[in-house]
Amino acid sequence: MTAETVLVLGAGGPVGRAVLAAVRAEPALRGIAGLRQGAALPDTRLADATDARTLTAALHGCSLAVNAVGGGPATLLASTRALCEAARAAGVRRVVHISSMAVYGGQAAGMVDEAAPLASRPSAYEAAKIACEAEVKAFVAAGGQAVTLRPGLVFGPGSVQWAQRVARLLRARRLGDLGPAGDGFCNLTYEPDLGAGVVAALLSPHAAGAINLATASPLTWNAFLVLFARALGATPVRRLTARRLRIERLCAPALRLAGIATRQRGPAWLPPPVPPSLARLFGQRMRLDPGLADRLLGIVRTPDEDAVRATAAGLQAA
Amino acid sequence: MILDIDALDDGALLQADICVAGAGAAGIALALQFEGTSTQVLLLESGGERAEAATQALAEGELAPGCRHPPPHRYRPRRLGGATTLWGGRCMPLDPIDFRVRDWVPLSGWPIGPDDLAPYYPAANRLCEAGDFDYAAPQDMPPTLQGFVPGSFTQSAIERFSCPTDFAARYRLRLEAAANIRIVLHATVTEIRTRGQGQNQGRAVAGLGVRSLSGRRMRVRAQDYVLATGGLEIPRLLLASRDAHPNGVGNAHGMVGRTYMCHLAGTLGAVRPAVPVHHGYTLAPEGTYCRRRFALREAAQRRLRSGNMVARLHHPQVTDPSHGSGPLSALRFAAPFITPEYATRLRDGPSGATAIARHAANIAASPLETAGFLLHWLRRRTLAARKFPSIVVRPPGGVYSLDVHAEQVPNLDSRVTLAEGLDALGLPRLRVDWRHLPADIDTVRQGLRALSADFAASGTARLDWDEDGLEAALLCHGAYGGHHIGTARMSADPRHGVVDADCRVHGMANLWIAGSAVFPTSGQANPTLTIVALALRLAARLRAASRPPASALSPGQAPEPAMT
Ligand SMILES: Cc1cc2nc3c(=O)[nH]c(=O)nc-3n(C[C@H](O)[C@H](O)[C@H](O)COP(=O)(O)OP(=O)(O)OC[C@H]3O[C@@H](n4cnc5c(N)ncnc54)[C@H](O)[C@@H]3O)c2cc1C
Repeated sequence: MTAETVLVLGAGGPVGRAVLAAVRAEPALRGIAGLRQGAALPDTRLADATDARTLTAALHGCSLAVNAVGGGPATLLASTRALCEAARAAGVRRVVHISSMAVYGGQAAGMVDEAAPLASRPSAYEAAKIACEAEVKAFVAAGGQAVTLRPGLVFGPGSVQWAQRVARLLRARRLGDLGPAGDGFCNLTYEPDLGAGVVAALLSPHAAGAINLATASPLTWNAFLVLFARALGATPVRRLTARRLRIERLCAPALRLAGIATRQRGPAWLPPPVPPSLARLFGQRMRLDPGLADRLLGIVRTPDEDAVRATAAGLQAA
Repeated sequence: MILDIDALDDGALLQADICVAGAGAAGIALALQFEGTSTQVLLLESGGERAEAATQALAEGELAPGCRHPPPHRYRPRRLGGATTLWGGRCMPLDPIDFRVRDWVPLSGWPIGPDDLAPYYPAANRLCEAGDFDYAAPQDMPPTLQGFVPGSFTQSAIERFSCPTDFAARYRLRLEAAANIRIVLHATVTEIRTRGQGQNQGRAVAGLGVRSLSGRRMRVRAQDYVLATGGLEIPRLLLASRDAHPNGVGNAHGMVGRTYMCHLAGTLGAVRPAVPVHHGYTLAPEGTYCRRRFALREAAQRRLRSGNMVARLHHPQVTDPSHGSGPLSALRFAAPFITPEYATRLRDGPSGATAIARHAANIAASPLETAGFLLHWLRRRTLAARKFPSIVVRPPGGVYSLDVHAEQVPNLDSRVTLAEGLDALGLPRLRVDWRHLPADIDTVRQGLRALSADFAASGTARLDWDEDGLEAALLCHGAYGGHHIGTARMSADPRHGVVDADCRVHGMANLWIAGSAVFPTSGQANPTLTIVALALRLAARLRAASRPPASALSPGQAPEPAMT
């Protein structure tokens, strides 16, 4: 049996890299990296993911495609739209679209399965993720095959937001045990588990529709932050007062602006902000129901504790 | 969901699967175990979200003549969170020996063993925010006395501290958000009704009577009822509920309210170390404060035929200015601003003008040290979320005292009963007749002799103490406040206790007890961690019992228990 060829779009980002690694480790698949720019290495195709024409060319000979493109709302929507169009034109058999738990919105609570309503008052990012899923649905309605995966926070040494930024804040003791503010669930999806989920979604004949992809019994944010801090050696972990968290909230916009203004020079000393969006997540009591993924994808998940330790070790080594 | 009883109609009938009376450490820990499940939990709390004088007065009671016990309304805040709104946060598990039958301790032996609680302690540590369930001193923690060789005592055991976590403030958001948990504030349970169950007459709870100071009444119907109203209010409610039991519920053998134990504690003696000392705290990796303690080992307890006991190096008596310490003298001046429960030891001793002048002189002689101490206190205690647990001052003369905490053995004559008078809601007041036995003093006597010998054998310190004055020193502040143990003790045989090994009241199908009232013996440990562990075990027991939804109780009701 010859391996099926998969184009992984967004292979330059942390999510895409993890997916590509998993695809390349699977003998039944041959993984091609879809990159916006870079050297034309073997098994690499350069393409502007927002342009259906160049994408159609890049998809030549691929029966499968993965959409792991990251970016702002406009990029997300344009690239998903372009991929659906190009996949139709290039005769791609199945598309796996990496969405996010963000589609459920910040108000969601309790155990959330795939039938749960999507965000009713979405942020720009959430709205873009929802619109992307709608594009994929339309692609299926028009006869295509697609699986939409909804991971939690994609976590691993490559994750800038959830590993690197959080590690920096833990080392600076600006995050730690958050007390009542940190009782929300931290729905992690470990990078290798996401990779395994994508491979299963590409290969499993039964996989279809939207599927949550996250840890089975999530840690609370407090438990996650303490575990991660301990694994990083950022100890003793500090218990933050509500007053301290309020100050972080007040300072976040200024730190963000300063960060944007000085991005070119990139001063390492400038502390990252704890944006309100992150602070909100710390309290969100939502858990992704993993049942459908268990039934349709049958992947074995890495326990959160192991994922956190391995990620910390990866960061220490870097 | 958190409601006030005044938001409900007078005479309302509230239904639930489980009704818990009392929202302190035990009640809140138990309720949280049902968060997000389909079990409907009703948590009734006598107090509100803040301290209120009229509500607190419901806890007032009498003391038997000569009884050295704090007034019954002290050390028992009647408000959401209970005594965790005031506690010190020392979180200690019981030792294996505490569960055993010890032939030299009458009525000793629990019907459960350490292994029955072991699965619940780690989660109890998490709820109390006391870090890992690990009580062995880590290698890198400096020894209390360098070179101390364990003999009767060991210094390799540690104590851990909670923030101290106020269960109301800490878990309020979660309780508020949980759709299946209803907390009703200002709802005082005044009666356990056992009539009206046909052939089960008197053998099951049929409902609770609930009243408020605003004049509201409420009835409650549930499948299971848990009393978590604290070690003194539990026997009070059992004794006062006499509709089908003339002596009170669960009291067929007269055991309710008996074997009342606190702990014996005191600061005494003079320790003169000959080696480097570390008697302060260390932060564990997860951020909790820990420190070593001298613990009387199991083999020594067996050899000495004593109870359990621990000791810590402590600063000299604050009120005696001869300590020469600026920080301690500053504390002497702060005494009037400290809550009475924490100020007892700051109020006795010399108080005349000379003493005041000498305290002022101590401060004047060490202004930098005193300022440093106060700044540390401000930063690490007043303003911190995780608070520095206690005062740690190195005495200028190098002479420490010993802070001891010891087991009290069960004594049938140490008991609480109902008094003549009624409280504002018509519930009979409590009469406390706390007593100690010579064996209790003897535990400390034997322990101090053994510790003194250990110090001498290892050449690490000299301990001088007044054997003749020991009883007076341990009793000068009376029973240790805040630990209310043994008043509804656990026993395999209904004749010797009030609840069975599952914490179910003997002879009652659906009445359970959560709290230190069920401890058959007191050990050396402060009770709360074990209270929480037992509450988690009880929750697991209740969860395992498969239950039909609340609506099945009363056909025709909506699945969400109606509040009529
Ligand atoms: C000053 C102080 C320091 C302490 N330090 C420590 C320590 O360091 N370590 C330790 O382990 N323990 C300590 N304790 C003890 C600790 O606070 C208690 O063990 C613990 O709070 C008991 O929990 P509980 O839920 O059984 O009872 P409580 O916390 O007393 O809660 C009982 C609740 O029931 C409510 N209630 C009472 N009657 C009724 C009724 N009829 N109807 C409805 N509600 C009712 C009360 O309002 C209260 O909220 C300390 C206590 C004090 C006072």
